[in-house]
Parts: sequence; structure tokens; C-alpha cells
Amino acid sequence: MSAKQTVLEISLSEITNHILEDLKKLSTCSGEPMAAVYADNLLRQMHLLRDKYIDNPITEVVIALHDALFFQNRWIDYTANQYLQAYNLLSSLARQETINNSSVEEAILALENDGFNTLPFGVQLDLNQVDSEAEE
Amino acid sequence: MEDKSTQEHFLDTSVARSLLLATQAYKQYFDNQFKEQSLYISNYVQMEIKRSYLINLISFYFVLRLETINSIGDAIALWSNKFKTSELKAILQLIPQLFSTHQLNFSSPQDKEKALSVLAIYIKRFELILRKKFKNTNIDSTACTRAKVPLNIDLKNPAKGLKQFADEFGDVKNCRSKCQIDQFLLTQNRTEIEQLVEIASQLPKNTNTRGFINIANNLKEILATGATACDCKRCEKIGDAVIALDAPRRMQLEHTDNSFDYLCPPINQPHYKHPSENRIVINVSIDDSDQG
Repeated sequence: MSAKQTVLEISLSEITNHILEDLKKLSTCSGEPMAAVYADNLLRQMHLLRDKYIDNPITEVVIALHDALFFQNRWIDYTANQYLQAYNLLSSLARQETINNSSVEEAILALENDGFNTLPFGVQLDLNQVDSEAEE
Repeated sequence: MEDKSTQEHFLDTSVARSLLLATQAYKQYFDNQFKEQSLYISNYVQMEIKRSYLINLISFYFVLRLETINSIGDAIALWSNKFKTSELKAILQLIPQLFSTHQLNFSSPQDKEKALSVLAIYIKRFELILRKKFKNTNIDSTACTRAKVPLNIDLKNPAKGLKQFADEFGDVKNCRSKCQIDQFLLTQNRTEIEQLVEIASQLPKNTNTRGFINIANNLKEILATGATACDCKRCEKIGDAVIALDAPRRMQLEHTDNSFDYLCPPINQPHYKHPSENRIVINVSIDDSDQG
């Protein structure tokens, strides 16, 4: 069996477990150089989950966390406690037999409440305001 | 004087949108201003954000989904060549950030499908946070029907829910037939609107007053013509007036637009004008270079 075939067969629960392990590790070493070891692995596992299980409800929550952590490498600024909160949230979600839309919504809002900016992308809508200010 | 710690804040579209979408420095500015205080928006403000941002993101989704578009890069090229307003250009700021964070290849046809999924998930999340991040005043004097169009996305087939939302949000004839903007303007707030039109007629037109005068000219036409002059297109032009009139008077209206400086005092609406994003970003850059 090729390495590619092995990757294709990895299950949702295996990937989720890897993500949980990395979050747990990050909760013990955030802010230290060692955190990069787990951030790198976390990012790869998140992408694997996205690529293989995009329409699974847990993926939606993981991608919200992904965007908060990996836009402009903001993972480096989150605290140990925040990683622990993310770990607790995702492990609780993963234990649910079925994850419905309201569980997904609650989880994303919980991430926001824990200080994860899940909409980190910056857009300037009022570009015309720049012009009007220049006229002042 | 109102105790600052108990002050409730009603956010104009410009401020609510900035808290969701602005650059980090500008978001930080507002976070420092409001800290843990209660922030409110209305259905009407939600509608304005959906109209100015969410619906354009959905349009981009369908550009990317076209069978004649092979890659993310093709979709960006088409969008940037054909759509030029600031609201449409904003999509070109979001898309590269979102897809780069997901390490998608902009010229790879294989990554197009991933990009569609990532964008659908982002749209769903944006709508959720818009709906839940702020408290709702639950004052819905205009009964704006567009504001209530639901966005239901099944990630197994996102296109269906996105199209349904676009269809319903774009059906302005149906939405207008159900809203009460005419009663809101011509009955409930007629005196205030006559007053605003009168004030505008005495102002010189300059950079500060231009926005307010344009709003007042539209209000004047509504007064002259009546309910038939009220439609969703017109509502787009008088949005700041609707927001000011619909704001709870016990709350401070937070805004960045000059027009509120003229709209709020005559109706005794407490308000505060925040600096523009450009001004805050420039100040942060100057501070950073001073420390460097």
C-alpha cells in the first residue's frame, strides 16, 4: 500500500484525535519555540480534515479555529488557557453522537467568546472615505 | 451625565461592519473604546451589512463556481476587471486572505472545489456572527423584510442555500410589499423628516455636509411623492436617516459617517463620531515608526 493510499484511509476520528492532541500540547507550551512543532502539525491535520471531510459538521468548527489561528500566524499570540478551552470545546463536540447545526453554531460562538477571532480577515469597505478625507 | 460604564451603544452599519471586518488596528481601536460594554444593532443594520458585503461574497461564490472558470485566479481576474465599486473591490481584499490562509493554489483547477467549500463555510460563519455577536434592539420600526431573509446553508450542497438567499434578498418587489418604510418615514417620523429637510436646505454643500444633503434630497422627494417613492434602492440612499430615527434614544449612536453629525442633534439622539479606519491605521503606523 502506498503512502498516499494510507493517508486517504485515515478516519475522521483519527484526524480529530490528532487535532486534539496538538491542541493539548499547545496548551502546555504556548509562547515557547516548541509550540511551532505542534502548530505545524495542527495546521496539517486541519487541512487534512478539510480536504477529506469538508461537509462534516465538526470540520466547520475546526475551520473557524483554523482561520483564527493561522491567518497571519496568529497562533503564536493565543494563550495556554485559550488552547485548553479550544481543546475542551472540540473534545466535547467530538464526543457527541450527532452534531447538529445549533451545536456547530454554539461551538463557533464559544470560540469567539474565548477570544478566538474567527473572522480575522481585514477588509476596508469605505475606500471612498480615504478620498473625502484627503479633500478636507 | 451618563455613567460611561453603563452607557449602551447602538452601532451604525459602519461601526458594526468594522468590528466584524476591519483591519486588526481598527478592530483594536473599537475594542478599546467599548471594552465589555453592551453593543446593540438592529435588523436594519444587519440588512445593510448583508446588502453591502454578504451578497457580494455570494456573488463571488457563483463566479468561482462557473464551469467556465478554472481556478481561483480566473475568478479574481474576472471580478477585478468587471466590478469596480468600493464594495465590490472589498471582495478582492477578502478572497486572497481567506484562500492564502488555507494555502490554496490560485492557478490550480484542483483547488477550485476546496475554495468553494472554504468560502461557503466562511459565508455561513460570517452570517452567524453578524446575527449573534451584538445584542438586537428588537425595535423594528421599518419591518425590513430583506433583513429577515434567512440564510440556510447545507455544506453538502451550499449552492442551493446561497442561491435561495440571493433570490429572496434580491426580490425587492416582494420585500418592499411587506415592509413599513413608508409609514416609518411619512407618518411616524414626518415632523422630524420635514425638520431635517429644512436644515439641509440652509447648509452649504461641502465635504462635511455632502452626505447629509444627499440624504435630505431623497427624503424631500419622498415627502413630495409619497409612498411610491419608497423602494429598496431609495432606502440605500437614506439608510443613515433610517438608522438615526430608529435608534433608541437612551443609547449612544456610534458612527463614522459625517451625516450623523447633522441627523442626530435635531432629533435629540446622543451620538459619537469615531475616526475613520484610514486615520487610525495611519496613527498606528506613525506610533510604530516613532518607537522603531
